[in-house]
Amino acid sequence: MSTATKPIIARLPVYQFASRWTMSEAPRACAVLGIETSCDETAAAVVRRHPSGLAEIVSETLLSQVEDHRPYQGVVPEIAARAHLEHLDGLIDRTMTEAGLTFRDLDAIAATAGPGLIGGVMVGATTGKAIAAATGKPFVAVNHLEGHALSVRMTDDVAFPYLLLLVSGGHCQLLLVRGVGHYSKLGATIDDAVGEAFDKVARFLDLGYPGGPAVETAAARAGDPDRFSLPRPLRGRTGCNFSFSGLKTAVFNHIRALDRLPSPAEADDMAAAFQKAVVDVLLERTRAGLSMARTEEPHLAALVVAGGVAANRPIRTALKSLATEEGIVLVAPPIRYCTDNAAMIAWTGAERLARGMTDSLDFAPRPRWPLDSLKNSA
Amino acid sequence: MATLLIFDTTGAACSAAVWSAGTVAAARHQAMTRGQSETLLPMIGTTLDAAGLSYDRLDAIAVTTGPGTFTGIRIGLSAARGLALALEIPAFGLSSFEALAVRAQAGCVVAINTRRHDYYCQTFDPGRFVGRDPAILPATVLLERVAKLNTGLVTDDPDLAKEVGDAAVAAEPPDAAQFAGLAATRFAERSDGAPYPPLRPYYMRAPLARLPEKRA
Repeated sequence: MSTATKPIIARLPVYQFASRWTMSEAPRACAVLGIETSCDETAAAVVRRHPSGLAEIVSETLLSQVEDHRPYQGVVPEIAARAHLEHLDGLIDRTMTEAGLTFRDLDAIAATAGPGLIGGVMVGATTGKAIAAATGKPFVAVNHLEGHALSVRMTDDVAFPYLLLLVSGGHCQLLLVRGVGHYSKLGATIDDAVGEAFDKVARFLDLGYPGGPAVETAAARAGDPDRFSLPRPLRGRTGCNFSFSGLKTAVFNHIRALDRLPSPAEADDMAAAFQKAVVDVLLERTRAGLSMARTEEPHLAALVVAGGVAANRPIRTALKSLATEEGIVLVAPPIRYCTDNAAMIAWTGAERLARGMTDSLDFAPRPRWPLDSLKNSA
Repeated sequence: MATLLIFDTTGAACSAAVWSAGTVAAARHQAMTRGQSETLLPMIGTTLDAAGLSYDRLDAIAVTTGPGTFTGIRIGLSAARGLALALEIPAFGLSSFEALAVRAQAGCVVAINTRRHDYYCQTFDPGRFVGRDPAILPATVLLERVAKLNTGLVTDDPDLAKEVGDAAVAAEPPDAAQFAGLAATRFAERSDGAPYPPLRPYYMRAPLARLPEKRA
């Protein structure tokens, strides 16, 4: 068992990272507009990054499309893309008004340029490029996953390197975060994302949409969480990959074996059994990830959890105890910054801008864009 | 005299034009089935440079709103709405039908390939650039309509143009330089201070989405 790591390390002023800056041009606060349109939330935010590394969320607006997709029990890409186009410019306008800023006052425009549903990504990235072109401000093409990976440095004082557990509807990965643009993937799901498994199980059990909160609520009602036994995929396996497909299938088979619709009590018990299995899998795999991360980076500063599934309370609680056992701090951004939001995109834009990492207007949005393919911050 | 930026990404091309002093001051056009999102803003930049103008000289933006590819429509409209917001100038739309109809002075039927085995169609009477009867038609019905009206066909589909022979005008997607004049006319007509309506996409087709089956 490793010893406790000193959790909080004061952050260095930005000019020590950005060698291209001379002291005379000394760091000042930078205001960045962030745009997020990669799934079913349309969002805009202005974040100011102070030279100390401190973040200030100046204003933010978010429009959830959850009602548009509810009848389909899942996100329909074309419906999402249409809704992003419909609302994005209005949201940006409101965000700027609430910030009390004009576009001239900004230092950069940042937009999610992938990975995600490409129709929506195109809307956000093209809008961001247009504003950047019109104002002559730099454009930053932000990797949505990097937004999640760095959001904790916006909300909390966390130093590099840290281990990130990214759990959402589209992703389930363990990443070693060494710096801005500097990520190593230690493990990832070999089939379904964890949020996807929640959604599918909610659908099998007819618990409602979106599946994550629905399963959590049902599980909290459960009278007998041990009524159904479910597997723990990949337990004890070398490395720290995840698998949720077999777990999902096991739920499905239990329901099929009933040969009728499960009663509400059975559905609640199954939700509890499923959630418990997910917690176990996440814990066991994260523990393996921690030991891998510590081999590479003995002075790991924290365990960070982000992504929509990080809003699940039992998962947060369990990770907290794991961190305590492992002698490391668990840092989870507030739930609104765990789920998709534009502040994390603006913040990532500001972090990259501070290191001179901007993008040209011919940047191609991409549906797939692994974090470990990003360029390092030098 | 108005200075306008005009562009199109609704078809298998990306094009931009700057209208200034009553004429097309500069224009760019590039055929492509994808990649408009990377091409459009740099192309607008080089077109403005070629015209010797900067963004802050623009009075308005005109963009094709569709029909066409859904993604292409959204790229054009996202750019137009983003530019309009940042420059605080109006953005207004022309349909892709209108953008193509300018090629035929003597009236025509415009047919845009939906890439789903049929065509977005609209009829334009001689001398008028206001279309009527928009519809989605299979090739057979569309060709009957062309024959019945004894009019020309403007299409972006080379195969369809071949079937019609001489009656078809250049089988190319919209080109901003070609409909820049129409955009300028529209802008002049509206220069009465009245606010522009929000710039809306013209998809003509609902999203493909299947409702989940109801449980027994």
